[in-house]
Amino acid sequence: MSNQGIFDVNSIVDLKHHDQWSTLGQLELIETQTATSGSADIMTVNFESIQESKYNVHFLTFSEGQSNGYQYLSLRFGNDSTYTTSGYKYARQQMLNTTFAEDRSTSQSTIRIGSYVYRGENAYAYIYNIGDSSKYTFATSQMVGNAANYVGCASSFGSGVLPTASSFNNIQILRTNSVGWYGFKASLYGIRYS
Amino acid sequence: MATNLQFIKSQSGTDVSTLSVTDCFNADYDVYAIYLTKIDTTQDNSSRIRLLDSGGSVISASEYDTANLRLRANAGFEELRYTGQTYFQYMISIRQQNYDGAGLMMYVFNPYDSGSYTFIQYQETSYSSNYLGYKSIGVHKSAETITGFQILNTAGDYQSVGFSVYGVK
Repeated sequence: MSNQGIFDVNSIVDLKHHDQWSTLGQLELIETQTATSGSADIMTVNFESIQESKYNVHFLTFSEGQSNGYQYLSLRFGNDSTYTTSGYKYARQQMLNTTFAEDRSTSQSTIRIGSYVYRGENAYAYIYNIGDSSKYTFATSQMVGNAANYVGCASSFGSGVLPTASSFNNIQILRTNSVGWYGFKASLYGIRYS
Repeated sequence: MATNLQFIKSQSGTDVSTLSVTDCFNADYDVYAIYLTKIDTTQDNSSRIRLLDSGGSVISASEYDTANLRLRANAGFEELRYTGQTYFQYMISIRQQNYDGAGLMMYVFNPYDSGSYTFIQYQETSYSSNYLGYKSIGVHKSAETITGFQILNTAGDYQSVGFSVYGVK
């Protein structure tokens, strides 16, 4: 549909009808961090400007994770670069190339969101109420990656909580092992009006 | 065109036993993303979901099937299956403590299509006696136009409850 560059109400309605009126979406990118192949081992990915007072729900993506050692992809929450290292609870269903298994804990140093892999690590997580000092901070997640050395698939989904009524302004993705990533792409989004 | 989540509406209530989110599904989208924005309750309870028909009336016929995997941090997981129910079962479990809160993201598929069943899938996280989460699927087995949904409590009132609804474009 064409127009003369002047948008009155009827033009906007017509453009919307033809799917040609571009509007901002409500999945709003806050920050992306990347490491490319050849980077030194990176142990943590920290998001420290998360706009926690603007968004009640955050959406976190992690893709193309590459490492030389097996480990679980995990989350922590913190304030001003100091991260809480105890008291997390989680429950995850794992779907591995060899078996399905439950993974759960009532006292952990992280919320585990990934299976035990080291290549092809991809995951997303929703984080709820992180900026609300009267609520617990919750997370749900889903992950898929390569089991062992590209011999199968490893996947999981689960939920977790830091059962402390506090607000946090930092989100950390980490591996709980001494071997870090040499490649990844991680993005944090806010869900507007959540 | 924007390819994104497109905000449709938010709706909330206080001191209510049910909350209906009306006129949130329409012909513009096939897939919807729904987020819980807040929840506080006066008693331990589990929340359920019903759909609203083209006239905005609650559908309470025995047309809902649900399958849930209940994930627990302190015990083995449970498979829960329900057919021919009058609601989608186990959307959220929450205990009576104001500070807990919960998180939920739900997809709804084909609600406005009068020739299709309406399907849902959701992942929930909450805290009830110990940590709980649900990974769930459901189908409303009646081909009709759905315009909204209702959350309802098994016990007590919601001190507050709210949702935001987005079209997936």
